[in-house]
Amino acid sequence: MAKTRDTVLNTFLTTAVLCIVCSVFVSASAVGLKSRQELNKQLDKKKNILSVCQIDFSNGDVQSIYDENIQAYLVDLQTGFYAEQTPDSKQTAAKFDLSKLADSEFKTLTEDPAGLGGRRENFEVIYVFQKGNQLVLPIRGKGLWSTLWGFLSLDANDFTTRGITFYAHGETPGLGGEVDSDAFKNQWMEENATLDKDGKVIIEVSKAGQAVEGEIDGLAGATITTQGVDKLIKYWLGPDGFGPFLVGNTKKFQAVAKNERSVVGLISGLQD
Amino acid sequence: MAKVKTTDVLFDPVVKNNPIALQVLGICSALAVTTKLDTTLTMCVAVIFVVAFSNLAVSSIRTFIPSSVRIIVQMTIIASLVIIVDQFLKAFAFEASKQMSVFVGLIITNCIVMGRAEGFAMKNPPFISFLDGIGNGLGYSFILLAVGAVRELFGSGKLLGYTVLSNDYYQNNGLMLLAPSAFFLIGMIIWIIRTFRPDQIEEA
Repeated sequence: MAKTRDTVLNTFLTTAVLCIVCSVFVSASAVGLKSRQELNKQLDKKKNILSVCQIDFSNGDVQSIYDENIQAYLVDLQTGFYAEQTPDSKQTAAKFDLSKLADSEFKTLTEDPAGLGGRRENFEVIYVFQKGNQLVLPIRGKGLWSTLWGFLSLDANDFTTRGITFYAHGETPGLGGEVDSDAFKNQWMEENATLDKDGKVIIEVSKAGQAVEGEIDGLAGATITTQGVDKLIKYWLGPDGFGPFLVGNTKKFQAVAKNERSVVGLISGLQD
Repeated sequence: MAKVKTTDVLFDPVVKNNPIALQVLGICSALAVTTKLDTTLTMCVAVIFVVAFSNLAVSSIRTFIPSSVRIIVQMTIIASLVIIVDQFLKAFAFEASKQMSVFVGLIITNCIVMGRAEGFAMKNPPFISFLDGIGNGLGYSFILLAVGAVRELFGSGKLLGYTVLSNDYYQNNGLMLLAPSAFFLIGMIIWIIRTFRPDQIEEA
């Protein structure tokens, strides 16, 4: 018995059969549970949007609280205007999936401060919490080890910060991983100014312990993550990010004539 | 080979032959997932499942496994089981799986799983190996839950998320939430067990 089992042929045969059996189990579980996992991910994203708006969802159905409070809009980042759907991949705000955008719907970046891999999507979904007068922008960028994915909440009138959250990242726990700690996030609720009246980005995430009034204090022991957050915030609020949308559409900044179809047109309607 | 008794196989690893306390295996995850009791519970269930079924699978095919590649064969089975557990957690216990992050995947490298596959399942029939897996999983869980309960109670004044020690009179002990505290606690558990069972003391 022991002899036949240790032959070269038998070794290959046993391992091959084992690999096939194991892979069947692994792929069956991965494929079979995928829809449920996707649902969980969507729900987690919604929880993050609610928490960045400081909406309490601890006793209640996340989905219905979300539907009640949050509207999603598709924004063309190049023009800063609201869009019904993306031109090539035909995606709407309700079912937006970054990974399903067509190649033609990306802009090649010559400078890539946020570390987006050399290209930026031309369309993004923003979220509006009307009762709280807040805008939620999706943000992402490179930290030390990983891409940080999060949401930034701004006041819809003057674009001061109202909250931040990072729902996916792979930074060092206890150091860069503190980006999702309450101590760091609470600073973003203090209504720091993000844009000056010309639409220039003025918010700063400074080195730990060196923040002055109006700046965000960085993470101790996590210089690269802090710089990453600083760069990604500046990028997404800047001219390449949501800048055209934010600057071009407010009554306060008045840089561009108000467009009927703009999202902030909708929000400014609620301010009147 | 001496006949092994079913109840011994199942309950010996809890105190008498505990994989963490006596063999000092699986320490890494015992430090990482014990800050809160609910993640600890999920981890325990995951480990029990993986040890039991990896033992069952390895034992069922033990007569076919060529000895030159037996470790790789065991690894493949264990890794597949861990991926399946991870997929299930992501589908049914998303919050817990998010908190445990990499540590679910790291069950693959948990020395207990590998140790039982190589040390027990390769030499014993499937059913008894399956029970041995559950037993060792229980032994691991016993230590983990004890450590997790103490850490959550004194670290955040809660048990399973419910406040037990109110902040009005209790100041949370931050050390309990850091990894070293688990070392101290496991050390103390080993000390207690060996006080009552002096036969476990190793010669210096």
